[in-house]
Amino acid sequence: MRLGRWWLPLALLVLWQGLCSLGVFPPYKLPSPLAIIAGLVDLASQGMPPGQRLHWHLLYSLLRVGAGFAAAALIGVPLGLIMGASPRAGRLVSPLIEMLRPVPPLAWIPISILWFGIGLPSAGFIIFLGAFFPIVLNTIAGVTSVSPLLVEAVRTLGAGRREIVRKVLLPGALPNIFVGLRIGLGIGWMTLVAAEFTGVKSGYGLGYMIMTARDIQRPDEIMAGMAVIGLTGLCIDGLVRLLQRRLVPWQ
Amino acid sequence: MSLSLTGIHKSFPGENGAPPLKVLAGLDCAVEAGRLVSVVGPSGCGKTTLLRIIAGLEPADRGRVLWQGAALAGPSRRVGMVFQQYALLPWRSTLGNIELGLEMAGLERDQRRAAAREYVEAFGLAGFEHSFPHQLSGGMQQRVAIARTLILKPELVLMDEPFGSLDSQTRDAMQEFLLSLWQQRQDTIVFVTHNVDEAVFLSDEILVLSRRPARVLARLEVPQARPRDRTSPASNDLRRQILSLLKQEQVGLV
Ligand SMILES: Nc1ncnc2c1ncn2[C@@H]1O[C@H](COP(=O)(O)OP(=O)(O)OP(=O)(O)O)[C@@H](O)[C@H]1O
Ligand SMILES: [Mg+2]
Repeated sequence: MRLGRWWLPLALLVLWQGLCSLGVFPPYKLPSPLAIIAGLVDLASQGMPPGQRLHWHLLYSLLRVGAGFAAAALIGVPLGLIMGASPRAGRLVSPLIEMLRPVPPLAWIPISILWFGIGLPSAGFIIFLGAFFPIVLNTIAGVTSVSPLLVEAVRTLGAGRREIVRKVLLPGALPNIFVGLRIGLGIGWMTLVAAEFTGVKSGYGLGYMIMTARDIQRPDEIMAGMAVIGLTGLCIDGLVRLLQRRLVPWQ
Repeated sequence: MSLSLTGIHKSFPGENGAPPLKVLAGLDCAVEAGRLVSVVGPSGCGKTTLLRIIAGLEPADRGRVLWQGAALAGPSRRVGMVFQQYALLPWRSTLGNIELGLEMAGLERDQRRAAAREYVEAFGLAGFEHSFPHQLSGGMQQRVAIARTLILKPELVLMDEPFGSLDSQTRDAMQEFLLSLWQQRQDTIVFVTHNVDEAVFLSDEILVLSRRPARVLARLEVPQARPRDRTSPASNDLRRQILSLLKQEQVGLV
């Protein structure tokens, strides 16, 4: 059964390796899976550029995503709660959100470099923008999905506005908040690499590492970097899902 | 007189330019403290609206609601409400739901736990303290909901068809249970129900409402001593009387 799920990707890998070994694809365009693994080992041991090893690039990238995402969650969840709980606040803020949302996060890179310079604040800001909107919108949807009956029930038990938000709206919205966090984190992670292609000059970051590998024509290391990005994204999502199962056990 | 309603008016705005829906038009009634009073009436006549107004969840357009001589401003711990759909918080366990009102009242955690455990015991919920509502039967969920309300010791308890979605055996058991609770506690209960048998079995007094806009058609004393026999001639007579009142109300609806 377990193998059944994986046989197609495995077969494609074998086919890919076979075609490369037969010389169908030139290695400077499409390296073979084994070459990519070797590239990964190089990245981890020698580094790209030499001396700047993979785990440092990964750490910097995670730091940037962590900072941008944390800011998005810390602002987005409370804002979504307020907008969902108070129709007046919702009407006030939502036109602004609707106007800003269609601007792709990457389109903010130039202005963000102008505002924050090149470095963590600028990359963090781009990630913040990518993660912020799904978090706010899903939090609002979560609050409005809470049955008004529950709110009335706790009002008859003596709850005031703050208690309604803390004890009913927040936990009631939690499943949707997690949807928003997962989407936000996914978008943030995707945005990061693009932001690092241009917005980072500190010499570390997965995007920076990949661009350096391109500059010196190392497609094996480019693709190894891509694989690291994908696997890390998968791990992060798995962690959030684990947290979700801990915090939303009634679902 | 302890609960008194005078000249209560309530209408809801009509949808898309329809005229407003008059639900209550000058309803008067009074409930003596310590009694268990049922309210029956045709479907959609405004029974839930009436309870929501008493509970302070909905403002009346006109009229006065007095409890012990004073107006109630909004929901209060002195007035409890039990909903037909239970309205338990799905993310809280049995204990968590029962403790909810005590948290709002500012009790310490240990005190809350101790009080809630007593209610768990008394309400036959032992062994299900840590279950979530969706893991409980309908009757158990309703017991949690009642416990959650009664643990605050409200002077007035409003119940909106609390047993409406239970099967008839569970319903009978819950009626007996409610009676035993009420006899110990001496609180005042206003009990809305569709079920005439239930009203006759439970109440000291039954208010029969007219169709919309609702007013009090009849106020019937139920003199029988408890425990009552559900099929005694006196119960049957009373039942017949109420059903014929309700039937006349239905005629006009066709
Ligand atoms: N918030 C509201 N807005 C508009 N109309 C409402 C609202 N609440 C109730 N109504 C209408 O008022 C009327 C009375 O409703 P209510 O729920 O009080 O009746 P009820 O006697 O409890 O009915 P049932 O026996 O079905 O429980 C119904 O026609 C209902 O559609
Ligand atoms: Mg009703």
